[in-house]
Amino acid sequence: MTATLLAAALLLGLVALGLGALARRAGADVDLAARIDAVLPQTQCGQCNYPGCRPYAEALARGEADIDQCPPGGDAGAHALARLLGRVPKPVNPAHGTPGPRVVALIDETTCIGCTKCIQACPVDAIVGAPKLMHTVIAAECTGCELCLPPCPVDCITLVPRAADAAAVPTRSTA
Amino acid sequence: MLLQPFHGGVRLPPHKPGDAAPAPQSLPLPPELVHPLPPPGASGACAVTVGQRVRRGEMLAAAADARGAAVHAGSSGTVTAIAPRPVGDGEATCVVIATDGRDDSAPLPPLADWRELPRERLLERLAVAGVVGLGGAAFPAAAKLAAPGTILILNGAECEPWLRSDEALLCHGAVEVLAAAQLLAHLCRATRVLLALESRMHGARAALQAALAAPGAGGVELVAVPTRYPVGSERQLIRVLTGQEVPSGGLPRDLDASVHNVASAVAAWRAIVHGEALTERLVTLGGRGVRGAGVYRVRLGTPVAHLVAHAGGYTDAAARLVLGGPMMGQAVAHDAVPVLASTQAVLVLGADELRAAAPERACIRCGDCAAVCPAQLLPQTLLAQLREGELEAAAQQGLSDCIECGACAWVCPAQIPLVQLYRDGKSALQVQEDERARAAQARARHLARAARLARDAAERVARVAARAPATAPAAAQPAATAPATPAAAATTAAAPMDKAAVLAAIARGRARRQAAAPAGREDAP
Amino acid sequence: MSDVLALLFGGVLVHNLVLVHLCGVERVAAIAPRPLHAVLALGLFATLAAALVAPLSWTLEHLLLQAPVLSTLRPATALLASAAGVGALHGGMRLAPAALRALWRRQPLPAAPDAALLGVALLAPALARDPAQALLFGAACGLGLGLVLVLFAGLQTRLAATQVPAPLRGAPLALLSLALIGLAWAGLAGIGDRL
Repeated sequence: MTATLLAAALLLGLVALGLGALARRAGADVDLAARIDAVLPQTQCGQCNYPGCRPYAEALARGEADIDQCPPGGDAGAHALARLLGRVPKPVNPAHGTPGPRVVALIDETTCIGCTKCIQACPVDAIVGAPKLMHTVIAAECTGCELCLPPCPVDCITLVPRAADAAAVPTRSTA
Repeated sequence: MLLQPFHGGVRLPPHKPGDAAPAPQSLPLPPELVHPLPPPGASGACAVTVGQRVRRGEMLAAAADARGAAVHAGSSGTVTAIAPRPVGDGEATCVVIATDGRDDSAPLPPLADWRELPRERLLERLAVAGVVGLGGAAFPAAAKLAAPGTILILNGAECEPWLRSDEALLCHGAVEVLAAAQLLAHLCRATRVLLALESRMHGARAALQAALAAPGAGGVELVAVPTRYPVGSERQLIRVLTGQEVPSGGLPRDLDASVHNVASAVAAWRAIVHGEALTERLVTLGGRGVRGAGVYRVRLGTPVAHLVAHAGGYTDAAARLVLGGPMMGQAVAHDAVPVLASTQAVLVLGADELRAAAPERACIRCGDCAAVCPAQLLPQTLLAQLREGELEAAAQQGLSDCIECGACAWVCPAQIPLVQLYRDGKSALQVQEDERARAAQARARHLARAARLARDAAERVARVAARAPATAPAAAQPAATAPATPAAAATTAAAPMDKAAVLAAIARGRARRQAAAPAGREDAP
Repeated sequence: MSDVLALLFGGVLVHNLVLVHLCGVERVAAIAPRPLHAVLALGLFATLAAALVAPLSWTLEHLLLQAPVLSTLRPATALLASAAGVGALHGGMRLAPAALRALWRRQPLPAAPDAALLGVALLAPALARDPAQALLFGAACGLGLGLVLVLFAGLQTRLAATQVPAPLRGAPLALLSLALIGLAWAGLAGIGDRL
């Protein structure tokens, strides 16, 4: 009887230790929202019906949002979210937008009137300018969220495909 | 010396008749030399202009980043163009030189007293001379030699079939190789110098031993490694010679070792002792599809067509043109491409020397691929993961450790193009990493903006509170978290805007919108 | 000592809940590909639950069901014991430290006892001779369940990347695998003959 009790206590002790270790490991990154946010493309476009990527991540962590609401992440992004959250993978819902090639905004400088409305709208401060002075988009920082297009009163902003990055992709290891 | 085996590898038919490589033959100067600019290939980095006369060894363009190397003219002549030209299986901006036949050179001052000079000076000379690795990867030698290593390994284990460029150098230039070994040993501060040969290179071994017997030479240990592909690969060679494995993601310098191709060593020696920039290399011409197979001394920038034509031209059996070896080389569609520093060989293979074309079939899980992988990876698992698009899982399985040797594809009975798949996977991983970096940058900017807005709002509230009694409380507005909220009137300029001009611009914009509407433009969401 | 070993081996291998007694098959067949630490946590919680259920069931059986006619009530006492055990675990988790609670909330055991715990409740009184043995046996059964969960989660991860014919995808293939592995497991019968 005592031997069995001891053995049982030992076993359950090990189980408790194991659970403790797993809990500590899970506790280290218990901020699920942060982990989801790390996978999102950070376009801050609002196509998911949330005011930015972090609110969407938090909604996903709470279980209120679905994984198919992010068009800039594309189907690959939805797949990554599914894997992260342990849900069934599904493609992006067309009701939120269609995934497409990456674009950046381009201001037509002949038409721009310097009203700063686009500067205020940009969620990543990628537009440089001042009142009554020329506005221009820093292409390297533009995420293609398209939030600057509606506020422009003269409709001088268009979207152009993003130029390929200059850095060459290595195709061989350093053998 | 006790040698260790390395995991996997395959025995390949060598296609190298005889014990010794043939003596390198010279090649008449081509009428035109084509030199690709170092990456990123911006023509603005070019140091010469169209119409300028250049001499052999004159710098055409400096290296733009740590991965590139300076490019030098292969012979004297006039620059006729700086334009995109076919290079390999793609295109690059190249400096095109019409040679004048005189072959004047512009050497750098020789540094015969290199033993007394500081290391930095010698490394600088190597960078200026554009010396790169001649074993196929073309990595800048100065960067590689910058890290000292106790063990210096000179890699003469040319393991790909048909390739005999290094072997020819060892057979017929053994004295230079040993002198170069001493120079590199000095640069690396090496206490032990090993020269690795394949066990089948009897002629090279004899030549080197004869050269070692001469007075003054010495300090180099000759080691014959088993002839098994890919023993000439840096990591596998280190494993064989030292028994240690270069860690995943690491470099030979982590094991205090340094591996250099024998031809690279000689190029470095020439650059320092004779002041010669890197302008030529030994190229093996082989395969049943070309006459005059052998080893040639070719100027960098020589069109492949010129090399083949001088050697005797194509035969009727010609089926495929390959730059480099049959396992790791590049098949090209035509011969109007230049010989580069990385071109160890030009092979014109006949149809019977190629694997019979067969359709790709499903993986039968035979496991032969894992048995031969020198990097001890699981090609089968990588295949399944990459086919499913599981990039992170593939990265965890060690995709980045693949040396792209092609042994797995060689043995695969289902003819699956494994190496192409792994290359695509590596590119996709790189793209994903770049995207993540961009996203992190965007996130940081977004947070900074939110902080700025909050700070502005707080300052506004404080200002209004300081003014306190008369002003209405409605002036203080907390900043909204939604990004599309326009800021308060604080940002408007002091001078009134020209209303007429603004109204005219708005009308222009409206007119443009109406004109574009029937054509159907892309809508904002 | 030999008792302890027999109980341990019995619980984990010989009387494996899923592979030998086919309790809790639905949980294993439906398991989605998951990272190892998530499945481990599931298995360890199952072990705790089983360790609570088994002595309860044993006590109920040996206190209440002594008369032969009352043995027909065994399913009822088993249900009662499983429900009590799971309920106790849920209650216990509410008092647990925050990190453990977070782990629990990610994938809690269902409040209604599933077939695996019912299986433990039915096996324990039959195979254990006192409450302490029941406790050990229950824990061992839970570990066996955890073992199979880990095995099958890994299997599903591998299968997710392969080209399974459409009719067999998902549950059918999982059940087939279960059956084949169960066949192999039958070879372990007989270890610890005391039991």
